[in-house]
Amino acid sequence: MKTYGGWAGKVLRVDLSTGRSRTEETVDKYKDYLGGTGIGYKVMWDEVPAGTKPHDPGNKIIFAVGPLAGTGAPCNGRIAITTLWPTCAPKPLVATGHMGGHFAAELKYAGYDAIVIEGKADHPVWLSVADGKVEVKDGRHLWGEGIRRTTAAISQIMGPEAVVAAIGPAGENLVPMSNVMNSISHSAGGAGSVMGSKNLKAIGVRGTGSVRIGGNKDEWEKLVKYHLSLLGANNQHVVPNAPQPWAEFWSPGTRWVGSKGRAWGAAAPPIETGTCEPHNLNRIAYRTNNAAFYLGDAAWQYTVRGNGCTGCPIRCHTMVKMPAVASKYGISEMGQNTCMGLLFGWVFFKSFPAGLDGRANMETCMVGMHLADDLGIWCNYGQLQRDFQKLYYEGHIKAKLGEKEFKSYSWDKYEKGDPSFLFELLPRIAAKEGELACALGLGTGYLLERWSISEAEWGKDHDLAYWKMGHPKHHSCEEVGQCGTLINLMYNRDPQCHSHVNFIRNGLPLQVQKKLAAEIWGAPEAVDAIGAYTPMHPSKARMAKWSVLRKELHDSLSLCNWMGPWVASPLKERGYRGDDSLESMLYSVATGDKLDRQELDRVAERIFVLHRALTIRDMGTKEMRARHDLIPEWAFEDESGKAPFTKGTTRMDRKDVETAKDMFYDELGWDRATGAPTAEAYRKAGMGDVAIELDRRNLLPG
Amino acid sequence: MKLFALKAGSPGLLRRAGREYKGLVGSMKETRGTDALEGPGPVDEAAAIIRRASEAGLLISEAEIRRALAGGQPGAEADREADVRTRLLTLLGECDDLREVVADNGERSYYSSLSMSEAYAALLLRRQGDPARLIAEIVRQDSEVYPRPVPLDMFTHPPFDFTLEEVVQTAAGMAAREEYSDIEETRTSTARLFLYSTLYLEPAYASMLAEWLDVGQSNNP
Repeated sequence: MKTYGGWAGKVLRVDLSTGRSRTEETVDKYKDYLGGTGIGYKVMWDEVPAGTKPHDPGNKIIFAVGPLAGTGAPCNGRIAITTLWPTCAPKPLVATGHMGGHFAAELKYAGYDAIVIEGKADHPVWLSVADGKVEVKDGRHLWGEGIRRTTAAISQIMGPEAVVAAIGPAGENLVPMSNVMNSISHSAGGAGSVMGSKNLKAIGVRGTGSVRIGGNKDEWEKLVKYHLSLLGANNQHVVPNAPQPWAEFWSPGTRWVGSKGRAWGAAAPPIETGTCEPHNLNRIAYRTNNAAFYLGDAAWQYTVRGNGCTGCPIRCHTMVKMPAVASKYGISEMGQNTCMGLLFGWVFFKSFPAGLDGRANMETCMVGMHLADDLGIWCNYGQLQRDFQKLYYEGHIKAKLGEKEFKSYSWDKYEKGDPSFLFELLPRIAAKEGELACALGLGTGYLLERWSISEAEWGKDHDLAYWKMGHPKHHSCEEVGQCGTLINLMYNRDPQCHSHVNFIRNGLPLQVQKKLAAEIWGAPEAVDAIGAYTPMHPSKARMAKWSVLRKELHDSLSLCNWMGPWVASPLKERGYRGDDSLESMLYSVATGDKLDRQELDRVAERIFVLHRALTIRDMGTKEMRARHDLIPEWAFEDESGKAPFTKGTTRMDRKDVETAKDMFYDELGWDRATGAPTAEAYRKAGMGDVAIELDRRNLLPG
Repeated sequence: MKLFALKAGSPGLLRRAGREYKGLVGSMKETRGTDALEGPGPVDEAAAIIRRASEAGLLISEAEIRRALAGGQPGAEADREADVRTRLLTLLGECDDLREVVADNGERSYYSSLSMSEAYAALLLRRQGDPARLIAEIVRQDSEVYPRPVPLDMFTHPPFDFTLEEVVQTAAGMAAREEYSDIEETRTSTARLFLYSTLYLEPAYASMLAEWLDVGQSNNP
């Protein structure tokens, strides 16, 4: 049998009901699904029957990486966590969360491509995976502890190089809005309570092995350097956000914020990021400072450095130091995070005493970040905070809570933007203490149901950004028109897809983007300027298909879809082209299994189609177009009444969106009427058995 | 308004723009991994001076090159003006990376494309002139090319380095001048001021884009 590189070779299965573990050969069973979400969906399809609930012992939770995790490939730090999603409403369906950090690589070094957690322990436990030694350990002394202390306690046992993925009290208490976290700040939202339902507090991994490169080692080294040369800043923004001597273009919206005069002010001594000229690969890490990007220029003075995942030079988790918060709030003066992790506390509030640029908002970020990351609370891409604001300011909270509970919160602090309010709210969410905390912890879909608020009301409010099934939009029509809309239809939570938006926001002028788009998706019409959308075009459907396939590919290979794909670059001499074949080149050399771009994309399509099959099976209907691929009303509205396709509106046109669905389904070979893959589509994806099973359930179109 | 009184090529401008710049023959804080002295064409002291200036993010004028070649001795450069001009013309023909730009007042400046883009050189050249024209040209260009409005506070950052007061006063002055009648302003929900050109952006579209740049993007991480 051919021996491949890349994969560690084993999938670890741990049955918490019996305490026993066993292994399977990864390549034998899962090579056709690569790893990551591919393995996750395959396990869910084969082993978790329709009708299983997220917290049932019969549900499984799969931590899976791909053949590129733990190699030298840039941006290889992500692990996919697949399970039945407890916040998916009205019925939990399969979904995935993704952690960066160092868990993915360490798992490979320990000898595994995946851990499949089955059953339920009869008391709290944690799982120790140290190279080939797997132990289910008593976790009762850790139950009730925060993620920070749990991580420290397990690290004391396994050693400082171990990586610990732990849940906090929120996950233990089966709060659906809970996460699992490793490496201080790298979390996968939504999966915490599934671990809690299994009495699994944490997984510690320690590996001393390595990942074998199956192909030519020199070629691998060259390929890694080539990949590095195409990197931009975070989200693959390829132009700086202010003029720099080397740059032909700049855009104030990009995350390439490093430049002369901007320094990590809390480093000792301060370190100037300098001119991050793109050919200087040793300065890639200076380009991104997400604290400054999200929190404003004031964050530079608190920045210590960038931090991030294994194998990634981007360092998007900015480390900040704010001594004042230690004495004021009793939290660590150090913190690190990115995106919604940084904003977690801030976005609860409408205003702050000294305005948005005041110091209080930085303090609020520190407080929110520390509390959420220790209690293990998930924000659902900010939906928790948006819901909270709307519920409070529109009187729902006062109406639904008893007087005693309502008065137990310091609403005056909340309205003033006092961060200490978060000490009242967040621990109660984690502990399910009181009606408000219980409702917020359910996630939007079940919260609305509990409080008898119609989902349609939420779907009308543009500012809420609520999309469907309990989850918000994630880069939809507001910035990528029909392509973004289509991507947001496909998943059972927010899609977490960045393939499309990384291109749209890369900072290049529109005409350069259109030129690249024509090369990648066949026509310049694939992309529009933000807010200047044009009617649906087949190239937009191709871009949408490409986007979701690359997302699944990244999630299965263990590349970061928050960074890739890399089809644009900062290199003028390349006409700002990236390389659409990077993934297949990395896969081929790492594993020794030579696949070209189209061949690897077909594997990605298999994974994506299997996700669709799981959704159809578990929903018990093939009517995806009518019952799953739904768009909120706000997407078809404009506050000032602008018509679709006029400049200055993100309003979509109903008929045009139906055309978009037709074109998208056509691209995938799916049935237009139902939006379900046909038997032929399953067979082409190499999943004839899936078609047979769905046919048996009368879930095939036609 | 002291900045506006500066003339192109004056020592004041050089000092102001060159916060990191330690002198034309001094050491650079940063290198690109290629020796700043080397480039396409023959090794030449004048070429090296231009390349070093570009590495530091500066255009360098012919007069400044003369002074640097003379070792910075006051008055020494005057005797060599014709020689230097000839030498620069030769270099421009021999070194692919060396470029010349000419200001409205006829003064020639130089840069190396090894470390400076044409766009940035043009920006530096514009900065040497009328600030109102500088702002207008950048606003028009951005409105047309990307397309996007330009936050007024951008001009307070390098390489513009105007004070906010200077920028606001300049923008206010532009409103009354016919040649800038296409330059309009829009404020976002955070009261941040953006400028755009009506030649390329409709008012409602410019407002939407400004709001997106200022608020929308970071609210959609």
